[in-house]
Amino acid sequence: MGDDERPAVGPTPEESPWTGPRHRSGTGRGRARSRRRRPPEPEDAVEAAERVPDAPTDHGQSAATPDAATPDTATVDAATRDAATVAADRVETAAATVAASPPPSDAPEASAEPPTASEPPTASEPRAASEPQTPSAPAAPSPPAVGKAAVPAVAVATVPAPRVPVEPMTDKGHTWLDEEAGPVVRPYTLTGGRSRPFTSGLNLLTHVEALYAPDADLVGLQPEQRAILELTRTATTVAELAARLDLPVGVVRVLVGDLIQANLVSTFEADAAVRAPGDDILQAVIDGLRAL
Amino acid sequence: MDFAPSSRQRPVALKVLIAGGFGVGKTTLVSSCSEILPLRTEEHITTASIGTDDLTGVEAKTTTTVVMDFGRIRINDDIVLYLFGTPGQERFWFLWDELVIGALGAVVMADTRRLADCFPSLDYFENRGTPFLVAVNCFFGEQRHSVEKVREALDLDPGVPVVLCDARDRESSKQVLLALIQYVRSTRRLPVG
Repeated sequence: MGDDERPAVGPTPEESPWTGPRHRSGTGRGRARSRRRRPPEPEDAVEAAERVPDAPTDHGQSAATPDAATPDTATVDAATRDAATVAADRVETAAATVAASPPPSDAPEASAEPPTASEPPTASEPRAASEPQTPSAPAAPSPPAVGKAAVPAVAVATVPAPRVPVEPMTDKGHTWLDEEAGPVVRPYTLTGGRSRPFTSGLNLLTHVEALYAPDADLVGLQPEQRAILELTRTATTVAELAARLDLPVGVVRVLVGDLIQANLVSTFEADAAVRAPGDDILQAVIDGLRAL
Repeated sequence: MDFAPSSRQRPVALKVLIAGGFGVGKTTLVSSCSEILPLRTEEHITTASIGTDDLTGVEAKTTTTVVMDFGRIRINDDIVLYLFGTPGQERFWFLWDELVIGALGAVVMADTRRLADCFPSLDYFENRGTPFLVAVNCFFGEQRHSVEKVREALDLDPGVPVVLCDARDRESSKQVLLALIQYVRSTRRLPVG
């Protein structure tokens, strides 16, 4: 039994449901980037589906339990990888095994654990604060045991539908940073976790110039990369791109590096960065400043 | 549907750093003479910086977000002057190492009430050989000390200009930049390697 669980919990310890949307976007480096900005439900559904076969079936749990069982195993793995495997031989159900990992939860009884653990992935956190239905949904499944995990799933199915459009969560005017995106998208999420560009030598004043129009039939580009192509119709510096896109310079470097790799932009160093500006240029600057 | 990259002459990008202690008016100066945008960087704290940084209590932190003031003055079609308000806190100075490369020069802003705040900036640019001038920001038109006294207190090399300015005033800020460019040009004319 314990042997069956270990492969099932393989993915990552950080997948614990308690990490929520904010943190999960920071994990899973190198995975499909576009998924990062979606609400947590689909991803959990997918991952749950992938992981289900091992854990719940041999415990004889109902078909409704996969959602609950999957987070359990993940939690067990995260908290007590070693202890759990020893204990798992003696414990009858995955739900009971969770008792070995109380730290993430404040509910002491083992029976209350599985449903609570299943809340975050199913009922998305951003909604929980204001949605009247959601508080009741987690409350209901908490006391009963594993089999009731279907309740939060139902709540999810009903909650999003009547939901009216909500104001963006920030005052920055990002249209994509709505409640569905979760509270925060960490900067390097856009780069799939990469912090170093393919190409070196992109300094703040390196000029980037688009070789293709952003409306060209280019697939697989992120919105930010399209924005870069748009901004670089005339040569634009890396610093200016970062400022205009409101992205950290490091992120822009990676995104530009991808575009270079794809042969969509060219870069060049401004003359002044290569050699000291000549007297004529300095005089032009002086004249220009005076004329401002 | 590609389009031809512009065939005109390569633009010239000139970099000017605005340095000085916290709250001395760097942001004000940049914003008064150029359009200004916040420029975010998320940087690794390098081991090189750890020796000089006070990271007590945040030893586990390996990256940090730093916001710089970023200004842009378009001189003409081919020349753009970029202003970078360098982070005031000393612990972010590892960022300067990139900024200072290829920089035309620097403005070190000083507040005579807290003159010592600009000492580290002076040391930095002196060590790097970056031409700089000192701009004394006269808050509310208040000038407590003469230029000579400031120069003496800062122990500046004889040639380094000291100018008075009101960072809120566009014309005054422009004059600071003008003085810097003229100073840079004068250093070029000296028969120094």
